[in-house]
Amino acid sequence: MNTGQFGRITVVSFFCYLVILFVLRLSGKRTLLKMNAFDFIITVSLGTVFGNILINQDEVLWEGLYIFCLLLIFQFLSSYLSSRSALFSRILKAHPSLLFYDGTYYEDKMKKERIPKSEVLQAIREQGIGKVEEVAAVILETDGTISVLPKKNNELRDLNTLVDLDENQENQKNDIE
Amino acid sequence: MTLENFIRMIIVAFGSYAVIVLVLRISGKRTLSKMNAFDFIVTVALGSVLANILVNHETLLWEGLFAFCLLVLLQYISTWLSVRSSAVRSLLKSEPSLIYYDDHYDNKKMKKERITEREVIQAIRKDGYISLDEIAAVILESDGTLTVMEKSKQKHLEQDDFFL
Repeated sequence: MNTGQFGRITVVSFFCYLVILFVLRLSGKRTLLKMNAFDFIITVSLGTVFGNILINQDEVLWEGLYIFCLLLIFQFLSSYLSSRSALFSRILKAHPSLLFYDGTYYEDKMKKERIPKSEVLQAIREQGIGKVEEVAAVILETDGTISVLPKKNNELRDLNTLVDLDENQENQKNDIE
Repeated sequence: MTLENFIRMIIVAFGSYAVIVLVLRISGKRTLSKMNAFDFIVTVALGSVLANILVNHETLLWEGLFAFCLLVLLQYISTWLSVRSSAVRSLLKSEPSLIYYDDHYDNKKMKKERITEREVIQAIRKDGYISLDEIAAVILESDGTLTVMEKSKQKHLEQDDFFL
């Protein structure tokens, strides 16, 4: 390796760093909010593209930056459209699924989402809850995390965060109530 | 793959591992803390450079390590400047926004930040709240996470109480 290459890496790094800083700042905080499985992949891809620009001699700087900006634009468009149209929001994002509600496991849903009972129990434990009876609901969120909602004073009421679930599940929940 | 390649990989892996631990340790905890949108990208880029060093035969070890150190250095400079100058700080980092307060969504801000009501409710659920009535505020932080603030029993929280 010669000084030329060192010089190239230094210039490219500084330049990329500034450009990426600028375009990310421009695209807003939402760009890196990880609300579904896909957002996380995009964020990692952005980082990998950046890393690749720095290290690969063959990769042309402009090409890398172009791909970076393209990814950002797609992310921008998809979040822009979903915040303005309910239809888009539904197409781009799955509904959260109810896995457990007031003592009942939704086995069909768990099979479909490939979540064994042991993982539901693990999520409950991770919240520091020792008794299944204290749990009102367990939900698989669109980003793949499991939310555990404890009962309030051992009662099932004011469940107004349990919205936007799969359609037939809304009905199942209402049946139990 | 020849034996030589195999041995090269072992040496490169050990060598770069040691150097990277040392560089990160010297540069301080802040290098890998994700306080704004950009920090996460840099962290992944660091990982990608390391993976490239290990996997790509064409990438020279020194070149890769040099790129790694440069990234750490740039992060160091930008954080060094932002704790010393508020102009740099506001350039590098966006302000947090209050998007839910006092039982109301701030629809204008949500549209501007491209956040849906579903996402706000999901963030509230993830924090284990079953009822919106328990929530004082939801804030979109500058690193792109949503912070959920519980109502206080002692007093009604005013907007000024969130250090925005």
